[in-house]
Amino acid sequence: MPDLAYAELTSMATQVDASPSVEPHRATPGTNPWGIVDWYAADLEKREARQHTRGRAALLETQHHEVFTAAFSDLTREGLKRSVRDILESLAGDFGLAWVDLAKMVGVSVPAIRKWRLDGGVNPENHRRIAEIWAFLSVLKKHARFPDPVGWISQRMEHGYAVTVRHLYSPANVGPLLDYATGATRAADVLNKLEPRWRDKYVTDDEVVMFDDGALAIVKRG
Amino acid sequence: MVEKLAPLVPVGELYDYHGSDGAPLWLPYQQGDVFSGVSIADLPPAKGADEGFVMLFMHPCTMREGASLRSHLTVVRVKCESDRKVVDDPARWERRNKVMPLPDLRGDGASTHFADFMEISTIDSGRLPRTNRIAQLSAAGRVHLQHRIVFHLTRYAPHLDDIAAATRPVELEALQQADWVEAGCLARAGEDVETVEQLEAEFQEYLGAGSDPESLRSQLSDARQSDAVRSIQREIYRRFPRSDSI
Repeated sequence: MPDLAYAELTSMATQVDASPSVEPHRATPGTNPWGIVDWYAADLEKREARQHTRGRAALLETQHHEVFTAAFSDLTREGLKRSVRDILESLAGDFGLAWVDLAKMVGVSVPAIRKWRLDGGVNPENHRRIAEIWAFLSVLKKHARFPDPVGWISQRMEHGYAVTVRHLYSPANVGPLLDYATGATRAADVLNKLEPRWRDKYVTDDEVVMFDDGALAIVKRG
Repeated sequence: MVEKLAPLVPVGELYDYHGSDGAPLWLPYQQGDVFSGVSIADLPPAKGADEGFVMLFMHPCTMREGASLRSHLTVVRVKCESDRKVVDDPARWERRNKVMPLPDLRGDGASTHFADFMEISTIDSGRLPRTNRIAQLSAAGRVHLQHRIVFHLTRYAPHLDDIAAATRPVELEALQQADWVEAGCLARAGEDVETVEQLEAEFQEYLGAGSDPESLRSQLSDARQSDAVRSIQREIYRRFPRSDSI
């Protein structure tokens, strides 16, 4: 086999009028697996196969996300049949979700949540948002089989980074997040997809640990 | 690259309560609460400090003895920055690292204050009645305050999410206490200071001792946080059932 670098070979193989200087050494197709024509054909074949596999994988990923989002949509519809006060009672009393987290996920203030809990006066858009959060936690419990969905969405996703699923939650992100919840994709992959700046935005040299006085403290990561 | 403190939280997210209505009595005392009508004898009169506004400086962990406030608490003097406009552009507060910006503290849409970390005093806690509380920061606002305090005292700028994680048990406890006391006040048809303090004492007793690893107080500090919130919320519904009139 001629002593050519991979880059040179691919360059020659992709030039329309390539006349490789190795021509005199080219073996008869099929008799020498490293002859340039065979190599070109093999390269093309593998490229096409990989491209096809990538396309197929992307399609499967989308279809898989749709399975999750269908469950999420069904439960959202179920939630919307309930009053806001009922949903809030379920979020707090069944899931243990704190108002401060709910407020952040819905994009409103804690006083607004307190007001809705008492008088139910909420517009349809916020009713839907609350029902979606209830549906998200319900899917995590029913389908992803997390006994404590609220605990799970509060855990840091990658060591050395402060980001949690709570930071990433939005109804539009439910498919990839449930994909991650079921272990079908890695944390770094879902973060790259949903929050491309996560390595800059959430990096921390510290960690939060239990201190000797029994309370949490921030210390240098060891 | 020059490092800097995290940008100021937008006014809409900085406070849970501010403005003419003040903060409800049933809210627990929190770091960052602002009170009116407090003069500090040892501090000389200063420009913008004539309203007698002070900010509670101590963290909730250290401001209480049991269910009650300590006899003396540390406060930061609050001064007026502008009587004409709300200065909420984060860029305007860059490099002013010895203060906590309080744009639109009065809720009038036309003024800005700041808490001056260079003027910290210890005062009798009896001078900070709930009835004089004019504002309470949101959880995000408190994290921003802590970010600035830590930097002011140590020149270290921790990540906001690390502060939020470290103070989460206290935040959760305060939220649960507020729910408990608010529901109790509604059930007992009274929102006076005496009722509030009695309900707070009942809540603190219900949480149990921090030295008991199975107490709800301990659970709020570890991986059982959501279990603890669930238990407390169910207890609130059980003790103070609400009417289904809506």
